Amino acid sequence: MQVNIYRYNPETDSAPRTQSYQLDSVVEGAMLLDVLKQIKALDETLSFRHSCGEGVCGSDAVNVNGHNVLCCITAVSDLKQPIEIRPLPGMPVIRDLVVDMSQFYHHYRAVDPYLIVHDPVPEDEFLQTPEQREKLDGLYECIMCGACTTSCPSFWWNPERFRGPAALLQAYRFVADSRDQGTATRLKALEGPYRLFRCHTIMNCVDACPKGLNPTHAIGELKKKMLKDSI
Amino acid sequence: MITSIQGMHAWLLQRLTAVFMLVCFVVAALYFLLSPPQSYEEWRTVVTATPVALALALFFIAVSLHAWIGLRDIIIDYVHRFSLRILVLSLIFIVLFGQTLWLFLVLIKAMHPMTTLL
Repeated sequence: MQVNIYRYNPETDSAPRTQSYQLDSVVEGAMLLDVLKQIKALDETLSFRHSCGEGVCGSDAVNVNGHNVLCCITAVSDLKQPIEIRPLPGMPVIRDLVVDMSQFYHHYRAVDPYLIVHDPVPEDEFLQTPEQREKLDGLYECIMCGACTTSCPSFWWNPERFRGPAALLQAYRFVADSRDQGTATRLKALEGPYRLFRCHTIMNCVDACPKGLNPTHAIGELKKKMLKDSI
Repeated sequence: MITSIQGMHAWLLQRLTAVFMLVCFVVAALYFLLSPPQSYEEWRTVVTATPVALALALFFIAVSLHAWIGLRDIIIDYVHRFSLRILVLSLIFIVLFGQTLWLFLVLIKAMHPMTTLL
């Protein structure tokens, strides 16, 4: 098996390069993370992020054969060879497959990803009907891996100003929440040509999401909500 | 000012103009399929009837507005240098404005053949 990996250390390299690794054997049913660990055992200079290994933490998102995936839940047998592994697109590279996600988290923080409640908070708990709770399905499951945002051309062109699919999914997650009272503020903060309306419904985000979520739908709902509230 | 339409208003306007243009296309296609004009005079009579002329004028405006918002979106995405962006947007605005003006003049001339506007 041949694996071609993007290698770059900005502190020592003048330009990125691709390094090829040949593996004689890979255990049956291996995930891509297993392969990366196997390569790491051969070449300890290779850097990549990983943690839970079960598609929950979202730390090992990379671009494989042109598609953003989580290494730990991507079966090697499903991949076309040679396998090309690159860091997430549109992010500054710290080293090899490790990218600087500061911009991504900045956008996440900017949408106030928490409940905003103006009324006195109930002493025991907030109550929701099953229907109200159901509206959060497909929104709360985001693991913030960045696969969607970094596959979005609108984010590539305007990374500082377009919030990106992951942050906008979170914005809608709180707009859709019956307990939240910050909808007007949230929608006002998304007005203008950049933060929300750079989305051109390309839907790369839907294609890339390893959890099967639909940020494009959430963005559409934000636009509809904005329209309804302005009439 | 047309150039300052942004965010939700631009998004909404682009969709409304798209729907209007689609309706115009369907009506025009049906007209040409079911009872196409047999002569220039017949064609001119239809085009210069007040409702049709009004719809055509609105269609020209819709085309320009739709194109302005769409092209501006592309420029915002791809042209990041401020001076170049202003230049390209100005050129697009002049072309679209000139095109709308020219179409209006053609329409007015068709409605009033004796006019010396052109």
